[in-house]
Parts: sequence; C-alpha cells; structure tokens
Amino acid sequence: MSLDKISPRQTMAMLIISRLMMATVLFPTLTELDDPQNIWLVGLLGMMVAIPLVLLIVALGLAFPDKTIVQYSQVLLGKFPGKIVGLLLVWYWFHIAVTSAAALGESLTSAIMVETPDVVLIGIIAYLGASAARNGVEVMARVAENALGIIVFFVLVTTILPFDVMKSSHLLPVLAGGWGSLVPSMMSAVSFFMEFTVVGMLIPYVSKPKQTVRYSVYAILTAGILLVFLGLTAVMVFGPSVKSLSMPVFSLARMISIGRFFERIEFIPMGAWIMCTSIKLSLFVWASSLGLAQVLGLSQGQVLIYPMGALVVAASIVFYEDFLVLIHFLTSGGWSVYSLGITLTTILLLCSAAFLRRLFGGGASGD
Amino acid sequence: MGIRAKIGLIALIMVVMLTGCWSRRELETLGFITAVGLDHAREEGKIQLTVQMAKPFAITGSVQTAVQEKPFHVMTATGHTVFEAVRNLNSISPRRPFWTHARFIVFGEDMARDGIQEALDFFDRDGEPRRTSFVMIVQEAKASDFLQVEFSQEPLPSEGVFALLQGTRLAQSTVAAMTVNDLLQSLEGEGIDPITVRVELIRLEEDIDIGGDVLRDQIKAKTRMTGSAMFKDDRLVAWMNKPETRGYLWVTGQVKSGIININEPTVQDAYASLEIVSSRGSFKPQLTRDGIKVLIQVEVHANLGEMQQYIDIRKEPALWVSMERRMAEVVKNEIMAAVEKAQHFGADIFGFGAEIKRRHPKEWPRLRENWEEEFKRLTVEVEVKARIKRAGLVLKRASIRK
Repeated sequence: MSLDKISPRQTMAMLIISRLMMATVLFPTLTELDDPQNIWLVGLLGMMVAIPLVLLIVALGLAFPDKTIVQYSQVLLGKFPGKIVGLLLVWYWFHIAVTSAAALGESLTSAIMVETPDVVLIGIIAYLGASAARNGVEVMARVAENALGIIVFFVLVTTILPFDVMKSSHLLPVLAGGWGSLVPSMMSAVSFFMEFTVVGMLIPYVSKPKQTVRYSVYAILTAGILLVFLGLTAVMVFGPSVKSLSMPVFSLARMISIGRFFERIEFIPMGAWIMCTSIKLSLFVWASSLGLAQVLGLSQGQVLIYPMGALVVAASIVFYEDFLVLIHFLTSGGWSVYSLGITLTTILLLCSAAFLRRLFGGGASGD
Repeated sequence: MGIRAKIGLIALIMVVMLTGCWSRRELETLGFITAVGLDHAREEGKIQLTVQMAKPFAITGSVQTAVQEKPFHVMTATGHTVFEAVRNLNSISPRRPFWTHARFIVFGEDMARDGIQEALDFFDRDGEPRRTSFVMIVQEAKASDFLQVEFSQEPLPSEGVFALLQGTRLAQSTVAAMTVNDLLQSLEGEGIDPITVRVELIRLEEDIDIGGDVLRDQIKAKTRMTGSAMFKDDRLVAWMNKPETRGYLWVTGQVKSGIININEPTVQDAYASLEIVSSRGSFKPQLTRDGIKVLIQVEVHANLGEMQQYIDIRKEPALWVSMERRMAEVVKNEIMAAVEKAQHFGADIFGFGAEIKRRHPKEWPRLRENWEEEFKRLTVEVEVKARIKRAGLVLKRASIRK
C-alpha cells in the first residue's frame, strides 16, 4: 500500500525506545510500589502478561498484512463501530504522546531548567518528532534504529556506574506485603506495554511482517529487562527512600562519582530522555495522524502530522497543568485503568470479531 | 518550503537551543559553594545558613608573597526555611551561589539536637545540591564557626576537611561517614536510625567572626574528627567516642584499617599495637522464645605493628594465640560499648530492626509497634575471630642485653 518499508528490527527499536521513555523520566511503575525492592518481580510478571496481549495484536495484524489496525477494525466490526474503535485508538495514541511530552517538559523544568517555560522545551521536541514523522515511517524507523544503541548504552551506564553506593541488602525482603501489593504496579507495567498497540499501525509497513512476532517479543524482553535493571539499581542505591524521588533515574545519575573526576553526568539520562521522547512522539504522532486519516477516509495522513504535533504541545499544557496532576494520574492507578481499559476492550472486541468471522466465514473479506 | 527556508528555520532553532534557553548560567557569574553550615538563627524559629564560597581568582592567582589571600569567603544569611536563606544570600553575594560542588553539610550541635530533617529537604529537592555531600555535626559549637576552620597545609578548608574525613576513615576507622543519601535512607527506612560524623572545633582565637578577613595570615580555628554523632530519628541524642564508633563500624562491616592496642602477654605495662588489615562484620537477628537475640560475627585480620617489650614469636606460639585472644577481647569490648550506648539511648543505629524486617517480614509489623523498647531489651552475642597474620620485618624486638 505504500513504498515505505521498515525492517522488523527497526520496529523493535521504536517499540523499545517508546517503552523506555517513561521509565527513564518518571518511572511511575517503581515509585508506585509499596516495597520498591519487588520491582524485578513486577517487571518479570509484567512481561509475562504483556507478551500474549501484544502477540494477539500482532496476530490480528498478520491476518490483514496490508491493513492497519484502524482499517481492519472497520472490516471486522463493520464500518461505523469499527470507526469508533479506530477513533478510540487514535485518541489513546494521541494521549500517550501528550503524556510523554508533558512528562519530559515537567521533568526538564523541575530538574534542570527551572526558569525555562516548558512549552518551549515541549515545542522543540514535538517539532523534532513531527518533522521525522512528516518524512514518513522509514525516516522515523532509521532514527530509532540508530538511537537504540546510544539509549541502551546510556541506560547501562546509569545502572552500572553507581556501583560503589549500591547496597544489595536493600533488595530484601522479597514480597513482604504479599502478591496483592504488587497488583497496582503490575497493572502500571502492563499498561505501559500496551502502548505496543501501535504495532498495529506499523505492520503494513514491515518488510517481513511474519518476523514482527519474534521482534515484538524481543522488544518486550529487552525493554522489560532494562527496566528491571534500572529499578534494581535505583533500589540498591536509594533504599526505601527511592519511593520519594520524582525522577529516580535522573537522581541515580547524580549519584555517580568515580574517583572524584568522573562525576556530574546528568547529561546521560537527559540525553536518553530527549532521544526517547522525540522518537516516541514521532511514532505516536504519526500513528494517530495516520489513524485519524483512515477513520475520516482521507487519502493520506501526512497532512495531519504537523497539526497533530501542535495539538500535542497544546494538550500537554492544558491536560497537565502542573506536576502534581501528571504524577497523580500516572501513579494513582488512573493511567493503568485508562490504558488497560481502552486497549483490552479493543483487543477483546477485535479478537472476538475475528474469531466469529472465522467460525461463520461471513462478512466482507479483508484478505 | 525551499531549502533556504529550511536552513533558516534550523538556524533559528539552533540559536534558541545553543544559548541554553532561559536557564543559562555563565561561569564567571557563579560562586561555587564548597561547604554549607546550618544553625538556629538568633531570631526565634529561623535558620542560619552559612556557606563557604570558593574564590577562583585567589586559587589561580600567582600571589607569591608570604601572606596569601584566602581562596574562600564565608557568608551567612537567615531565613525561615533553608531556601529562603539561600535566596537571601543573593543580596550579599555578587556571585550567584552554585551548590553542586558542596563537599559537606555541617550542622551546629543545637540544630542537630532539635532535628535536622526539615533542613535536609532543600538539599534533596533542589536540582543543584547532590546527595553525595557528607553530613557532619560540630560538637559544642555553631556550624558557622566551623566554617572558619583552616589548615596550614591546604588552602581550601572544605578540601582539607574532606581529606581529614577520608584519612580518618581509611587509617583509623573511627568515624562513621554518611552522605545525604545514606542519612535519608536511614531516616526513611524502618528500624534504623542515623549516625554521622562528629567534628570538633579547636578555637585558637576567642571570637570567630564570619567573612571579614581577606588575608590568610593567621589561622583562627582548627578541627579534628573524633567519633560520631548518634541520632534518634532525626535528632542528635549522643556522641560516640572513637572506640564506640569503631564498635559500630565492626558490626556493620565498615572497618577499613586502624590500630588495636593490647597489653602484651607476660609483661606488665607494655603495649603491642596491631594494625588491622582486613575485617568482615555482619549480624543476624534471631527471634527466640526469650526475646530477640542478635548474633554479631566479626572476623578481623591484623599485622603486628609494634611491640614495646621483647617477645620472640618463633619460640612462643602460645603467646601468639594469647595476643589474638586479647585482640578479640578489645574488638568485643568496642562492640559492646557501642551496643550498650545505642541501647541506652534507644537509637538503632545498626539497623537491627531493618535486618529483622528483611529476614522476618512476617514478625516485623508486630515488633515495629514498640521497636524502641524491643531494641533496648534485645540481647547481643558477639563472636570475634581474630587472626594475627604477619609480624613486619623483624622476628623479635631488638632487646637490650645486660
């Protein structure tokens, strides 16, 4: 349907970067935990729950290899209900972009550039992301592929270098509050993995669609394991006081001091923030623009990208007027319920429709 | 959009980005704070903030005269909160204070006795100070006076104090050095109370005033590090002397090196000095029917460093064992002194409670209710494995032949 083609590896890169973004900035999954030392359990369980859910989306996409999730939902559910589901997803991706932009803006202005209005920072990053998206999915994918190595390196540096202030005793006791205490944080972890619904928009562009199955699992595993690393390091360095940090990964980098000459490397998490956020914004602005175009029946989504980017900037100021609103939404379970609500409903609807279609063999054929 | 317009737009964005936006800071306008002191101000309810600011032009200047200009300047400001005091500094300092390089934060005794938590928040919340700064408490003096301490060998006092801290820690192990990060962990953790460095002020002149002198012609105050400050929650409750502090360090496995003096076996009034070369320490709380028992296990290796009287180590292996036993006894006494003091003040500096929480998470909620009483009641069993490994370059002390 398009000349643009991306490789499964590039798809994986975009997904990993999107997932790492919120964790390197605010890490709500960690700060939401009553006993932060259980983060590795949350990470592992989160991955185990997320893999089948994401695979369902990928499987649906492979049934319609030349259609995006917004297009085939209209095939599966009928024109009008399909458009509603499509709009819901467009809104969801748009909202992810808005939340990510707000998280970056709030964090940069709280941590480093206190006097700078956050709309300027968000505006620059959103412009960067939107320009990449405007040039098509290939450009975005290549940027992501090249940035992935740097971002992973930054994450590893942040997790390894504070070794002299780590105390492994902070990792005990395991599961003192029982399994129940993990549930909110697990929901949060899974809800961030549900951002991978965007793979439904990418599949028609992937050169070898079948490999998306494998690479989306790789993406979940890589991102999940890096998150566990970051979480464990933060817990070992800050102990019980990690819960009171608003930006654990940034604070982590501030603890690095090796031999009194290798210090003050906050630029490392900041670099990761900016790279992750601009790539994530480009992906989600692109997905929501294309999705909206397909709901409205426009021939192409490119024209919507800059307006969508501008909307993201505006909405990130309007929706999240201060840091409290943002962090409350992300850590009080609001985000988890909202994200899981939308994505699980969509997946359930689409899968049951696909299942019924197969049973009765009716409906307009999509493939 | 033409290529020219695109380049123009990129250039425009770069102009905005490269100047660092609104929050740019020029190096020449910054005053680097190297040490921070906190006291109660004279006005009721206010905080007095004293800072030592480096004077870069005096450090790099090529003044080769006998009297050198001080490379630092001490300033003080007050406020109801630390942050207010910080901003009040701007009305007396032509350079904007920059906090990232603060080596340590020192509290005056009065302030420490009333609680330090309120004052610590700024150093955790603000983006410039770091959690890696050390925290110290100055005994029977104000922090503002402590920042007048100078060293003849080291022009910048903050570096001097930092070197003393490292030196005491590595050569003597008689000081419990805690950073803001460690302190916040103990404050926030359950079943553990903070402990940090005690510094003493040695006045060489009666009145020390802030700021004032520009020239470095006379040193008005010196300092030494002698043990630590024991906290209950965030309030200073007691001082620990050197052996007690080392007792604490044995239990928590932080002893790096140091000297253990023992009476020489078989000889009256003669000492042998043992140099600690390595140590390992750990503790295990056990919940028994008779209450909580903590088993402290310490393993220490030492070298024979000095003997005042003659012993030929080849001839008398029994004496070697006897010296090891005496060494274990000294270590045990230091540990018991620390434990007894901590129990007397009900301050769980070792983190026995935190360890119970780790090992027995089911029982901890019950014990937490009344942890101070439980801590005072618990019994301690100390096992010390002391080994003397080497004896230096001589086999026996040179003895006087009659």
